[in-house]
Amino acid sequence: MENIIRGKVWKHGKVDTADIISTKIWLENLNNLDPDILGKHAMAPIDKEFASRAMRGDFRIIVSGKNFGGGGKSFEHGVIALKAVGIVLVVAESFARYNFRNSINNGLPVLECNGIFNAVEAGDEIEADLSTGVIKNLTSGAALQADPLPEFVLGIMEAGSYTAYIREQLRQTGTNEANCAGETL
Amino acid sequence: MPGMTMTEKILAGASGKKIVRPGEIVNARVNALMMTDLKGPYVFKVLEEELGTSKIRDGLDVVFVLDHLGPAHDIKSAQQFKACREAARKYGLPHFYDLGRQGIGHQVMCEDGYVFPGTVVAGIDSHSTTYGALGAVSFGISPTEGAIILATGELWLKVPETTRFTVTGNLPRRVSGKDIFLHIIGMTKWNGEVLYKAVEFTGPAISALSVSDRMAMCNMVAEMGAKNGIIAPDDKTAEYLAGWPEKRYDAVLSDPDAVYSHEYAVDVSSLSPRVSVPHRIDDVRPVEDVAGRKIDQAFLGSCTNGRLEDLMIAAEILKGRKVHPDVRLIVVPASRKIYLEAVRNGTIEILAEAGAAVLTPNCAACAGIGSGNIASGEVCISSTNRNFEGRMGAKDSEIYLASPATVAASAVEGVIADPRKY
Repeated sequence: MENIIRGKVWKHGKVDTADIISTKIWLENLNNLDPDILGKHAMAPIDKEFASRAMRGDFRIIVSGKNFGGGGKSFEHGVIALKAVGIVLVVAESFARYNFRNSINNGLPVLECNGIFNAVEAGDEIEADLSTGVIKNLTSGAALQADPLPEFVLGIMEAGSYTAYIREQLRQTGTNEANCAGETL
Repeated sequence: MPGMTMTEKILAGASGKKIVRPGEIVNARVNALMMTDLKGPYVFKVLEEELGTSKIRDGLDVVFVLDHLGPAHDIKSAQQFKACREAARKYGLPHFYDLGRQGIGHQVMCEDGYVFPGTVVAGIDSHSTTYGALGAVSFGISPTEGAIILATGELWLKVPETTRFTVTGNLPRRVSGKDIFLHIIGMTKWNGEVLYKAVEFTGPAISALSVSDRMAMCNMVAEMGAKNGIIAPDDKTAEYLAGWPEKRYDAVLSDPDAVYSHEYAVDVSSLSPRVSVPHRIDDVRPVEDVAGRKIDQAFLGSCTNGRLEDLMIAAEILKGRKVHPDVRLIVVPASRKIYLEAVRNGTIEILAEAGAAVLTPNCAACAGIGSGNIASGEVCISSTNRNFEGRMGAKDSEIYLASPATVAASAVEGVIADPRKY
């Protein structure tokens, strides 16, 4: 995976977990994280066109304000839905804790960047370097500094998920042999 | 170069760095992991199926506690406990706490020597923030992240900003750490400025609090959306941990020039007991404003307020009195150790004489999946941490959150009552 991501922007000031995927859809698919189903409903509560426009390639980066993905729910459906329609990066002023962790754990890069909301308009093209945190607005020429993602987080993005990354690390270091102490039941 | 807060210093140490700053992502070593009956079997499934290993990292304290479902009350909970026991046996877990020998996981972590100042401790439960009362960085994680800790002993973490609450004033009689916390969350509101942040409690009123009351406060920072709560270790912490003299730990303190994202000053010298009213934790009133509200049940227990001194305060109020005839008082010691001490010092006898139903240590009705749930239209005053709609039973029931003293006084009067009378 490249550490430099370029794309057009979809922007919304306040995005809660229940905006990314509605509570109804989440409950209907409690134990079913099917990207095809969830993707169709991405952001529908606040933008009915979101999924179709994203899949058409109108934009691939989300820019938002404070507390992206807030609302205190730990489910991962929203992240799966965003990835399914081709979102490759979320940049926000700040993130809710569960959303930040779920995004990285599921291989969707997220950058926290002070001032991003006012520096970018919907439809602008931006370029973000995940490893340095430098974000350039190619449309306006503005540049901002986000918190960069360290190397092992870039490794998680490359592997596609935290578990896939750790599985590969364990395989490489040869520490994945079974050594259960007790009997197998 | 400005100084660091204790949360920043502990995360720097755990990730092998001299300095970390808020916003930075680090890969941190985790000293201990707590898991419960709700997610335990699933954690081992992720370990085996998704991470492709069944080896637990050496040097990691894995504490597996059966607490949420109580003694099995239906076939489903019996099956879940069976799956937990099988996993614990298969992995030969040395710190597996089965029924009758256990307690609520968070209490076991603190009182059985798995949490020390300066360490990083994770739990697969949102109230894992409790351990910050001993000067550790502790937080709740997902089952998948728990499996990653099992396999690697590490977890990526974002270094949080710290918000500091400096608490001053002599706490009035019958007013507790729980009341201080309810006052603070009523003041800041949920979804306020501490989301994803560290919450540090400091000041003379915090120094004056017992470790038990500090645990109640750090327990409830989860309700503010914070990452962790933390209190600087002191003589009381050392005394609490005196049972593990062989354990060497660093008392990590915040630098005097540490940078805080927000600072609040809270004076508690004239604080009255607080009550959080249905269905929002941050909807907090002085007890005077809600006194007289009729109750059906009083619940004293949980990882927030089921400790020995909580039971003893209730016994002080209930001694020589009876639980109101229209009310059930349910008392659940937070651990076997607490239960035993409360039996030995006569506390349980006083409570049972008064008409309390005393249960074996477990989470009981707190999360609505154990014993002691409430019916449609009923009202419960509870020493627990959440009063969401339907949390303890029927969707149209009501939960008022309060201190153990307020719960006990209310149990006597049959209505929400001011404990300062007793």
